[in-house]
Amino acid sequence: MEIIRLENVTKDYTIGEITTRALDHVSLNFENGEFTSIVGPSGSGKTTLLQIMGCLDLPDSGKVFLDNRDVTGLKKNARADLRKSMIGFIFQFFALVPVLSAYENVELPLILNNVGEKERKERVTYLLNAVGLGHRVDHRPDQLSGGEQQRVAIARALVTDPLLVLADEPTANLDTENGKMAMDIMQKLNEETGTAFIFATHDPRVVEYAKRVVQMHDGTIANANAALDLLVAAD
Amino acid sequence: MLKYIKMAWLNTWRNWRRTLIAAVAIVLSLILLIFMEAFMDGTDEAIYGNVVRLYGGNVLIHAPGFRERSTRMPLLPLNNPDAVLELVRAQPNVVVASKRIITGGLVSNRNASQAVSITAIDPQIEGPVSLAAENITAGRFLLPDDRDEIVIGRALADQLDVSVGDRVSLLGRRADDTMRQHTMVVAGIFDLGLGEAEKGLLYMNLPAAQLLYNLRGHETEIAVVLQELGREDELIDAIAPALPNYEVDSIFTLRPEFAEAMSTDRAMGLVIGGIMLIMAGIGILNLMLMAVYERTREMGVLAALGMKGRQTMALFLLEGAFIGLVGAVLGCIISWLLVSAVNRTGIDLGIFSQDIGSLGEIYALMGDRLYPAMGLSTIVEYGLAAIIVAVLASVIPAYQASRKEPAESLHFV
Repeated sequence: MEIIRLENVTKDYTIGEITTRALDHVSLNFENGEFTSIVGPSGSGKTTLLQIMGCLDLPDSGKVFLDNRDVTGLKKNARADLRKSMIGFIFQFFALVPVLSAYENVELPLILNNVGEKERKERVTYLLNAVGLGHRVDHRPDQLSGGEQQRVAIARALVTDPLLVLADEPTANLDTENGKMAMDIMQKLNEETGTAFIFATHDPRVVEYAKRVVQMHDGTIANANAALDLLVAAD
Repeated sequence: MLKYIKMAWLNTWRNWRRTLIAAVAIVLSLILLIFMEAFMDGTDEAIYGNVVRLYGGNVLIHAPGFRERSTRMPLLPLNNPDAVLELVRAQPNVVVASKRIITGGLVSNRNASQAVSITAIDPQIEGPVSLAAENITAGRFLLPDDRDEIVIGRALADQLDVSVGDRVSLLGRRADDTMRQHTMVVAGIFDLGLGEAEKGLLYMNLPAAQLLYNLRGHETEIAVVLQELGREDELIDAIAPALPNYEVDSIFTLRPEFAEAMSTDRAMGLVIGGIMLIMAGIGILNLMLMAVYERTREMGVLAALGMKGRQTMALFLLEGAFIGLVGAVLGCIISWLLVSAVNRTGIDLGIFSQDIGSLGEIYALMGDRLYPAMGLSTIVEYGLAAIIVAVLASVIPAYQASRKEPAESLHFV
């Protein structure tokens, strides 16, 4: 079942007098339960693609469909409503709220969705245990290691049982062991919950886990189903 | 909502040094504002209280026509004053009600002369509550059998260079508008520490004044002293309907210059205090703008999670409110302690008495010591004002935070 479709999407950024085309007539789709890496060199448009897919930004032209619904023309608040229930995000820099505990960070999307306290407790506890942090629920981000923070971020991304999780360079700030741990957890949760995971990355460790690889170059899709072994060989 | 409040409270202390600096600005503004208000209130009470005690009463009753010519103190006899006295004395909160004659005159000797306000009283009734009687420093106060005896203030005695037992000439206008001069004897000198304000006061016995001014069996004023200041209107509302042929006024109606001066001082104080609070608000504005700038990426993350612009705005407004709250609580507590401490000893105005006296009679009434006065409502009002200023100062930064696009914010480093 298709969950996201981009049709001829273009996105330009203007900084000062320079306009850069970040996405150039990109058409792409993703299915339910995918575990996909989007690869490409820096500046190829990976992050911009994720932002458009995640309704964090609007394309300059083209259309975006989420769960078969045209979300291209939605206003800011409507996009926020979509994100809070249908999309989870994992960032390179962990992006936890510094003043909240691990529990409260994972709980925050449920509060935004007006979920009741009892249900919130069940869901948050389940996910923190699933990522192996059931014993660290009251710790704030400054009391957690990088790997632990990213695991909290994974739990937060999944807490609303979203349609998909978008992860932008999720292992960039993690060492080998923690990076592997994070990917193992995401792979396991992908299999258990059926939530699609789409990664923007140039980390071969992440690419190795992917069931599908989308190759980007200069804002275009070079290959929507690149062969993994060829990519690994090229690296 | 509780989670937002908790988040805002914790965010307030993320950079505790900056928060404290902003709060200190509010604390200092509040201390100055509250202390100024307390100083003003103390000044008002000193002036107000002394006006009442000096000029004989909270409420004064006269015959029709007096109000219009009150500055000239015309001799307008009251009709049936005993009935009026009976009515007034039956009211609650009345300490003393007594009959008087008041008029203007000129006291002189070969050294000097001075225009005076002559108050003829019944010393048996007013003696126990008279400010002048309480503060006799030479001689004695009036007695019921006195005829030519007068009691004057220290400042007037010094000006005329007289002491107890000396004679002076008293010139006054009679009821038939003829002038009458009589030689009087200084029986007592009082000293209220009110400087210039005392110079124009002269007391004599009521029966003696009735003879002198051709008002046998008549009086021109009923003076009412109340237990509490500020309840004049209550008494007036109670008795005025039953006295349609009399003029019933509070001392401030007859001496509006006192009320006007106090309201002017208060307005100035509020303006200065308001400016100081606004300056503290500018400090908070700066702090919040910096916070928005520093937390741009964090706001992008919150937006990615689904937080809407108005929710982000509410978060920053709450943070501003908390900074205001911290400053308000500290400022109010410190102000209260400061005013309470100063209130115990008072502020010595003795060294300024010459300068204060030259500002006019109203300031001479302040006396030599000022006691700042402050009510709980004052503290609460100014504390709330500080919080409101802090919230208002946070509006622009909060609005800026709410307007940021998530993608743009996430890229911010």
